[in-house]
Amino acid sequence: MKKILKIAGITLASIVGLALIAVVVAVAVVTSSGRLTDLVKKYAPEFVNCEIKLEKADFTLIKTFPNIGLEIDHVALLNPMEGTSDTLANIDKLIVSADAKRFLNDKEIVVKQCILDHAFVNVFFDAEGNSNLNVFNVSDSEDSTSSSFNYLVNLEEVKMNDTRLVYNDLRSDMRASTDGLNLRVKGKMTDNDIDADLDMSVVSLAFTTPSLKAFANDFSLSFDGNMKDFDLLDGTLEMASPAFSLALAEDYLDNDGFSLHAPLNFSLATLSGHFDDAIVGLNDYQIHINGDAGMAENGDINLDLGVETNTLVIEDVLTYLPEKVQKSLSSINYSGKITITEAQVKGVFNDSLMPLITAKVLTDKASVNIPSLPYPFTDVDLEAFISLNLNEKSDVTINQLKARFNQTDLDADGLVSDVTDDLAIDLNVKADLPMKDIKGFLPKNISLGGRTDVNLKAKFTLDQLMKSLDDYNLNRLVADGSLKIKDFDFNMDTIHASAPVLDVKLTLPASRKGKNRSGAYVDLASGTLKAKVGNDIDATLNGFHLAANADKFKGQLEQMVLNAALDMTALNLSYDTIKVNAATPAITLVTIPAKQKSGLNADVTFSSKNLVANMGQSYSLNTNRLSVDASVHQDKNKIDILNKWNPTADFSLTDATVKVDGIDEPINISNIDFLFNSHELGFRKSTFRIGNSDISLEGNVVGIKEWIEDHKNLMKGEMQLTSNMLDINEIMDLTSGLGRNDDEQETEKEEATEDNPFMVPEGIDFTFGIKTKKSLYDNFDLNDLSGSMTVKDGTLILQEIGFTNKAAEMQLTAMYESPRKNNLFLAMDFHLLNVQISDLLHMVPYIDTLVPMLKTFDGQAEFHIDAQTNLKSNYAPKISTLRAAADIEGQNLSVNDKFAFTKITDLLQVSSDGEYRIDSLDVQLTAFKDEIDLWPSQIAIGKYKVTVDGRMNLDQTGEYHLSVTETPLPVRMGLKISGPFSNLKFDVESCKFPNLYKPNKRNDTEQMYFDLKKKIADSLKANVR
Amino acid sequence: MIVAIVCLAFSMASCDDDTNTGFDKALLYGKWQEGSVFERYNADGTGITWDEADDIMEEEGQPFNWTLSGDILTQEHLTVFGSIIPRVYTVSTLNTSNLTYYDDYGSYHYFTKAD
Repeated sequence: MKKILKIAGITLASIVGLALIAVVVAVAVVTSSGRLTDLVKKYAPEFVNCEIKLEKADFTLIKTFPNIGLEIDHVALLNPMEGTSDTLANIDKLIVSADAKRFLNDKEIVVKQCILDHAFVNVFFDAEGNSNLNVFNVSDSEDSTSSSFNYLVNLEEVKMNDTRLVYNDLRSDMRASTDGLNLRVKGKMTDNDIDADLDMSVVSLAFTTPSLKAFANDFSLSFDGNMKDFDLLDGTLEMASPAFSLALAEDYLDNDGFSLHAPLNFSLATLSGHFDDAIVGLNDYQIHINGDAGMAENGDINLDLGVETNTLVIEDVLTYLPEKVQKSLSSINYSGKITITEAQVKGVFNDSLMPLITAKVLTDKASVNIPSLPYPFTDVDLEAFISLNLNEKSDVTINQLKARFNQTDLDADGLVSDVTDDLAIDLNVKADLPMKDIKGFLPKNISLGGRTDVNLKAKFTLDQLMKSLDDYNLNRLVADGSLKIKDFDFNMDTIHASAPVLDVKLTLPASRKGKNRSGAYVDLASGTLKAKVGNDIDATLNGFHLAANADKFKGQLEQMVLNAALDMTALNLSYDTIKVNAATPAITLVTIPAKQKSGLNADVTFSSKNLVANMGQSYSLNTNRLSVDASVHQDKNKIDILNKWNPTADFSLTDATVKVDGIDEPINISNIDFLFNSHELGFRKSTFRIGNSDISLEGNVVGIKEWIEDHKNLMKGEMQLTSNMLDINEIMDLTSGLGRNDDEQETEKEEATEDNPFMVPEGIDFTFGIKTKKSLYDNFDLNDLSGSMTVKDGTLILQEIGFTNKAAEMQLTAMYESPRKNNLFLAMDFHLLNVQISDLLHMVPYIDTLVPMLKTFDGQAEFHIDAQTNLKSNYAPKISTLRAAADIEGQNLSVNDKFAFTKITDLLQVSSDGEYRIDSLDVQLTAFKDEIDLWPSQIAIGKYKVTVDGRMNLDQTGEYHLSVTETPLPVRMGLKISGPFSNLKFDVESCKFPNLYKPNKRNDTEQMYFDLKKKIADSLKANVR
Repeated sequence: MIVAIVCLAFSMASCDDDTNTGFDKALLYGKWQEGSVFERYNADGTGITWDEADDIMEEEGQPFNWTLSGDILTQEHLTVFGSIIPRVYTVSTLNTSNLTYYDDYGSYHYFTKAD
């Protein structure tokens, strides 16, 4: 402003100088003779110390009537200076008028008017302050008198028509230029007061300093007012330009329509003034300004202004904002109308400082479109208070904000701070929200339904919000929200959930809810929530409550950090044929993001009281307490369920009852505690009761995954089974047929619809270490049973089962296979030590069939038998497959059938001395198909030794040979007993094996039989432990 | 002349003895059938027997080891627990199509070659 005034002052001084030249010339003309033009040239140097050229000078009365005037054509002032043109001024026509009355009556020359037509004025200051304007000897001429006239300047009117003005000041690098300047200044100066009337128009105006650039076309300026004491300007200033450009540090106006109506009171001395309802027009907008403005000596502009606007279009307003502000808002699109009221502009304005601007802002039907949001905010009605402090931080206090977000109605208040930098939001938001409006914020595979009331208190920066919406990292945001969702509906992939009412509380970031939490914390509660997973799982959750924090939930589920705790008052779940009802179940779920996107890693716990589960009609479980601690590690590349999820689960079942279809007795479980994973099923000590049996089980099952992948692989188990009472019959019923497919069993039904033999489970390799105090098999009590039972891929092996009963100490190794229902296989290796023969016959009735003569004896014996046969489905032996070998050794055996014994001894002439007893018995028997062979064996009766051999057929016929090999008598008799057992025939014959037990006398046949006997006996006893 | 006839007679008797008491065990190799009963003799001294009347096929048959010494055929049938059930037979006929043997109790078995 000061510089503008300076230019104006210089211009006026120049005009005064030119006027004085003209006046002096006029005086000279009047007081002397000669041509006027020559006179001007003559006297001009007295006032102008530069070269002056003029073409013609003449008097005029008409143009200046009633004053006298001098008209000079083509005046040029030439003042060469380095750095600029040598032309100071070039005026096509200069007219100066003087008061004729004063001139004639008082001999005073009073300059009244000065008119310049088509002038060019070039004012120049070099860096040292030298100016081409220093050509007027004004100080000497002003208010001075010539010898015959007093002359003074009392300009009442100055006019400049079509003037080009150039100003160039190298000291401050300030330039100004005008083209087509038309200026009319009318004024009257009284003492120190000036009553002025200024009208100015410029075709083009340019003004530049290093910090300011202003350009205007068709610029007009007028001032109607006065100046008091050459200081106080009081009047009305009008300015207008249809194309005004203004740039300070950045562009503010660019060919904008600009106008100013400014009633002002301005002091030139202090360069300060007061605006009273000044109106700044900017294109279609009006800004009403009241207040004070002034310029300090250092160039600072001090402002204390009140500002109000008419209704503005937001898009336009944004273009007038400082570039810094525009940039901070550039990521958002705005539209609509805005009104600024009660605005204040207060503070210093200079190259580096901006005043504080405060304003009340009202919007009407505005819209805000944030590209990263799925919908724009529309119908935005804002009542806010803006505090724009570009020097520090600018804030917007939102007193009320109403907006619509798709179909959501929002109502908010709060504070938006630092709007020009890192825009920060501290808002309280209430909303009526259709859940589908959230869809855009969620991963694509999630959809929501329902409607909710929202109460949200949020605090974050716009940058944080944008980043969080982009990467779903919510840890940057601070928010507390509550939602009451009605008709809630959730879908994610194959997961579906719904609830009539769902209460949601949200906290961001989740770390505010506790250590080791991140992301978003949500608290969900619903009276009833229904869930469905795929087509298989349906669940109803009553009294549902979920507290969870989730993080990194952009993209796939496996990358999500999820920590959830779910509890409810009741759960009803169905999966295929499985139905579960649980009271107060609780579930926790923790996911651990995989380092590679290979799948979901999650830990899950489940606990419930009073859980009832049914699998169709076949199985049911009722437990007072069930707890599961499980984890899954998903491998997306795998298909089968175990390899895909690699589950690990720790089950604990307490006080439960299991009912299995087909088993009359329920399984009562005291506790079962086992660990399950893809490789292992590990039973910790688990106790349960099945019918009469109490069982404690402990051990491991491995190879589950391999078995599921391919049933040709074996699932292996090593279990320790201990029991006080084990009913083997019931256990066999329970486990019969496990692992066999239905087709196989269906085929077998066609073979034998009546029989249902025990079928050994296939695909497993289980070894049970067994230790029972008392066991029941068939009708036998087995005491202190120990050993192992192996079930391996359709083969059941009782390995070296040792036990006692009243009859004997026993060791049993047995094998049972069931490749087909009609082709079973049974083998046993049975050793009875110190057995009573009568008990032996009772325990193993087959023995009587194999060795019919055994029932003749009684007493302690040692018995070894190895027998095997294939069985039909009704357990009847397939005789063609019968193979058996037996060894019986006894001493001091009593004889039951005294008649037959006496008959034999009599025929053999063997004396028993009246005792029905034999001293020793050592026999080997073999069974092959239906033939049972008694290998030549020696029986000692006192001093007699008899070798017995023979064959018995299963048709109850036989042929036996008894050879007396040692006798006190000289004759060694032989006896053949043959025929059906009901009618045996006794024939005396020669000895068949006289030297079998005489190594030195054996023939080849006896040696062969002896060797085979030994082979039979040795192979039988080899398995005794 | 009488001496020559006697020598010839001993000689022929000797030949007969050789034929009746010594059989080429290679003739035993293969599958033999007696009704529904089959026996297979392998060159390595193993064998297998089964009775299709009992719904047992060859792959379900029962193993044995065998030796043929002169006309004594010994079978040692093996149980799964390692016991041995010996069978001693006297072979009376063994050629490419027939096998006949019997035991000490006069039980005869007549097999024909099945493959």
